[in-house]
Amino acid sequence: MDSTGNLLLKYLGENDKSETREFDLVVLSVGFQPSPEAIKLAKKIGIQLNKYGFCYTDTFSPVETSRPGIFVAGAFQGPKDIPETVMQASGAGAKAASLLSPARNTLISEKTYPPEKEVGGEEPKIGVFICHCGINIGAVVDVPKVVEYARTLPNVAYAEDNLYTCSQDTQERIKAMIGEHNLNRVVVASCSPRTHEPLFQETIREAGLNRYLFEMTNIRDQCSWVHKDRPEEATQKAKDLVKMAIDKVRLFQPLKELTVPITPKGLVIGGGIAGMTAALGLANQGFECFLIEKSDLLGGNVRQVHYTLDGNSVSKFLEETIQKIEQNKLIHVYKNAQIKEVTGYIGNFRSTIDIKGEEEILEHGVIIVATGGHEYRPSEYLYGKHERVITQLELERKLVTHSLKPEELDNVVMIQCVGSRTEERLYCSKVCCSQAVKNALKIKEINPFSNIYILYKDMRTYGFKEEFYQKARNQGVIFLRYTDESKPEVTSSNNGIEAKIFDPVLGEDCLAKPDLLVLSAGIVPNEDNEALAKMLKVPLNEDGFFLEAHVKLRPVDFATEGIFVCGLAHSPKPVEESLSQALAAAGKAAIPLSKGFVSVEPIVSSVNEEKCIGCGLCESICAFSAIRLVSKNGVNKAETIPASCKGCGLCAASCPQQAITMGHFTDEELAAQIGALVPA
Amino acid sequence: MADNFAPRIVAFLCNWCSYAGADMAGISRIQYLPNIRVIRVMCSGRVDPIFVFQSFLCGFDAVLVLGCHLGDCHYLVGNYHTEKKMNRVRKLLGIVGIEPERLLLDWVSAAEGARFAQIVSSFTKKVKSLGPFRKDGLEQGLEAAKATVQSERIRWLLGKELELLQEGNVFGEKLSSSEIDLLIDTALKDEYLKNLVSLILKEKPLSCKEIASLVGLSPMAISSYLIDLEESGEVSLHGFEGKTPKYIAG
Repeated sequence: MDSTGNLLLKYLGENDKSETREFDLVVLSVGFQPSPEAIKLAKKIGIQLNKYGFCYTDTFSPVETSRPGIFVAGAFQGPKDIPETVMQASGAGAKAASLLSPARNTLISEKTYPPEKEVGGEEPKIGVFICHCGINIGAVVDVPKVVEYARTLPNVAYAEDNLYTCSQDTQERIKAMIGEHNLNRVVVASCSPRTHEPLFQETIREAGLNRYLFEMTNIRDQCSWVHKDRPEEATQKAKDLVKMAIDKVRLFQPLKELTVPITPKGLVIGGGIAGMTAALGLANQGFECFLIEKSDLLGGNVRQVHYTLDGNSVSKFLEETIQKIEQNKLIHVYKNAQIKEVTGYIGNFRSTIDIKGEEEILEHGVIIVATGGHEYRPSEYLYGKHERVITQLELERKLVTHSLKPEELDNVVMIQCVGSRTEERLYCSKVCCSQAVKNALKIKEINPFSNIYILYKDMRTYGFKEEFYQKARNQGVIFLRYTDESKPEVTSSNNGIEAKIFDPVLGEDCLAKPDLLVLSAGIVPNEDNEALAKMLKVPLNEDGFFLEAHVKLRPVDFATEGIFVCGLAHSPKPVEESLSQALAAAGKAAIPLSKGFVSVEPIVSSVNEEKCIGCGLCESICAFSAIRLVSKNGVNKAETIPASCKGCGLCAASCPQQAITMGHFTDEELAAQIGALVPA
Repeated sequence: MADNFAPRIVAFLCNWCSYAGADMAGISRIQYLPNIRVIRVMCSGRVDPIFVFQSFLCGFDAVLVLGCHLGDCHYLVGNYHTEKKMNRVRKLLGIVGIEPERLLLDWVSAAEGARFAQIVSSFTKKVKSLGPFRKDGLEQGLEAAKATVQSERIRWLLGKELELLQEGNVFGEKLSSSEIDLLIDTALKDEYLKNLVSLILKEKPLSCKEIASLVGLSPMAISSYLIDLEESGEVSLHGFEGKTPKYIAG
């Protein structure tokens, strides 16, 4: 600290010079460590920890602890970000569900409701319940006055205030009042429908009213809490909001809650390691599935990977996985197969596949996209022009097949970030740093005297892989940093290849004459992603990978229900992350499959066929393929697919004929809210 | 005068972002002006341009539409459509003679309680400075504008605007945004004037020249609307005053 109270930070610059700078604030990016409680728990339940105290897992079973039947997810398994945590959690769920699948649905008792009262022809009789929320509303809004006002409004058969409308007692009271006053519509003015609407809907359903004969208005979060010092205006606002709710609820009609049965089968597109793991995940949970592979071999990219950084054999794992797939009676493998067409929606998809010119139609309830990605084919650094310039995957294959002998490699140069983190592709491919370290260590293992230079922008051997980076340094692998301004230059002559790089420590150019130049080529998306994305109506990101519903919280879902993603199709990632994600996709996909039906909120669009002229505008703007043109008596008419409709109402707001309306948010209902405050 | 004017503002909030943002303002006890009356919709994409004109006809001084930030829409693209539509509605308000600033579209995420409060308060102040919305003399214009956004032609254009911009028309031609602007704005004005003429003729029979002076356009322009309206059966010849033909709605 200096005399002004500012912080002085002393650090070693890139050029090895010591520098000191003054800062107002220093933020420490603190690492992860396992919690002491988790370590204690691990001892109690007898699961193995790794040397850092995190839960030990095998590379190929990232959510399984050392003790069968105990699974792990999240940061206790190793430092990770939210999406990987969520993936592991869903993956662990899938693993647990596999063990429990015989017992599924055995401990369930179904809740029964009284039959729904017919209210269609009845005059609206509205009950209004206005909450004090302790003093939260009552201290600002004059609740009794609002009740008094509500009583004066047309069709209000009953109104009262409650200390807490959400309390158990009040639920009973609401039910009693519905009976006593023969109420057929209910309004609650209290907090947010986002948190409490389902509770009140359940209450009125228990009293025999359809859940959608209910409207809630928010006089706490959006009134008393935000107009604390304006009790009069807040009371007026509450009155207005209550009037708007009453005018809307008056028009409500019962909506039929829909359930759609499900074909309890899955379609997995892609027979790489992610696709196979997802298929096994579904089958182990008891669901039949179709596994579609476009080539004549299962395995995908992993065929080209032979060992992991920590020395596990990928080939053996792959072989075992293929064997499990082939032996599983619930999995139907289609090789040399392409998806031609997908129609339908969650629970009821129908896909046409082409197997060597022959078409077959498959029916299934969910889809898992696991179409993979592939290694970038470099155009940089003389790749393809000089036989001594190869990629990391090619190096690995040559080492495994002994077509390249490490003993003969005196000088090897590896260049990182080839095709990744460039202007064209901004993303990091996540695997190449580890791959370079892995192959460097392999060469060093056989030929310790080999000089290996790794030219990098940033080394990202993240998580536990960091120790292999340290190991490589200790074994004399030389890491030289380059920047976008000082990229390595590679030339060739009769004497072989020359690589020139600027060494920031020496402050001058260095020249290497490697026997082998290895490019750490990034991962790029498959070219056919675009066609598949169009077919499934799911989005791709700017780089051409499939885009999940939420980057943090929904890492395997698409916004379109019933479709999931895993593996390299989603983004570049190492094998263990692909495996977690594949398990997660299987876990998430099994949720609708095990339920046997999908329930659909009736807040969906509906089409007035008399008005509809079949123009197709709705179909073209719906982001969820939830409305389509169908031929009815030879005339095109729009038709909602309730199971797919998310209820946004864009079609209703856009229909040129005003032929579409939204359940619970009809034009008339919204117009009534708009018109509620017109002075009489 | 402006001091004791309490604007009445209708606020359409989308369920997933802006309504949640409003709740967040409450949870954080961030105080704002009490002039908005909230209508919850699932998506800002549900806000039909018709609602805006209905709101003014029902006596609101201003309309606030809040959605998720672009790119964050719970329904993927709903708010992009809303943006296009509300921009056109603002232009139509201008054509009617209403300050376009009385309609505000903005974005608030579920986490942005402070931003919600700030938008509401600053919009309320803005509306205060504009003064009360007096619809006297504007009813016909508002009705004509409402009819305009109810018309098939305009709803097609508004519904297709994003697609026209991003993917081009059915012939694969891609229009520039200024070409699309010109196309839609011309159609808006055209459709509005046609509807206005039709509404004016509901009151009493008028000649082309009389309509022209009421609307402030040349008789040439009015006669082309009259031909259109006659063709669609909305207007018919009522009779002659001297040699001058007079028209009436229906």
